[in-house]
Amino acid sequence: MRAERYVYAIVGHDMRLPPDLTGFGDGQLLMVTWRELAAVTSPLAVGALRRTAEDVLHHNAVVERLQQSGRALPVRFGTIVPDDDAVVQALAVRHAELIGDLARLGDKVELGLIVLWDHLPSTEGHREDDLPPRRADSGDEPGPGTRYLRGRLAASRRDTAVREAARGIVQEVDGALGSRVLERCVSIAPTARIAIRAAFLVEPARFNACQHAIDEVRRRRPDLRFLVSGPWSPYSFVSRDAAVERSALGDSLHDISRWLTLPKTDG
Amino acid sequence: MTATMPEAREVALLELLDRVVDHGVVIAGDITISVADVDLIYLGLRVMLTSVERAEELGLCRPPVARGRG
Repeated sequence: MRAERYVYAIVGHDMRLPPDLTGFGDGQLLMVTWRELAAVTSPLAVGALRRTAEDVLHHNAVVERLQQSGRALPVRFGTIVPDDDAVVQALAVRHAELIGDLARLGDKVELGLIVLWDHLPSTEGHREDDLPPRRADSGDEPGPGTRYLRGRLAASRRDTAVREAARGIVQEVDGALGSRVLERCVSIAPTARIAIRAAFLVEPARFNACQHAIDEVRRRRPDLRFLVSGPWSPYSFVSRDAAVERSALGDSLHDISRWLTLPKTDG
Repeated sequence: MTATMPEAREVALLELLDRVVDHGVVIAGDITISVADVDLIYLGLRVMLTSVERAEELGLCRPPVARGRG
């Protein structure tokens, strides 16, 4: 049966693979090199990838073990290329970017942080009587249009208050972490329950210090709940190549546009 | 991987899924995970949580995301 190449990580060409580390189905890990780079792969029969939680965990376990052996960039779960030549071509296409990322991220880890509201921030200072006054000749009860617009205004003010409060939390966390953080990705109020979702790129040796710094913020803010996770391989910080991602994800975007019955976009 | 609070332990797998499926290097190959696959993996991780209800209560169960072809 023909085997494709499942790709776990990008490493330096001189990395020594841990001898006891294997890929999916106990497949032998192989390095496919191009110049200073190598992709860590294992053979995988066509169609054999299982989309299961166990395989997600195994993918990540391989990446973490590789990072313990040297610099490594995590590749997205589910990345399969037809053969070694295609691996080499993939490395060549993004060579400069991958070299840069490997130097910048290969020996770093990320700390995950989710901050949850216990109670949503109030719209203090924006009371109902701040709303524009009704006209004297408008009658006792506002019409449906007025009620709708007042509702929209109130919702907008709630959203603004939530986002302002979330930005305040980001400032507090940033202040506590200080120069321990090399880079960060922050999403402000991504859902109604979550104030911020963030990833912080740090040196592994500073991970515990960052946890303690966040603990300080947690003690100051008993109105919030802080969920810290990691250390993770630096998945959130790798450079994104729009063209390559569009190529890799093109069929999915096509499917989505079809589901939404939107006109298909070019490019 | 470590976690500092019970809640964090409960959602660590969801955090992992966010990273492994939605981030990481994309090379010029095929991402073979479809929308339905992500849902299945997500469901699998949820089953593995010590307290699915707790994760849901915390509002950490995210909507499905789109990935490449399946």
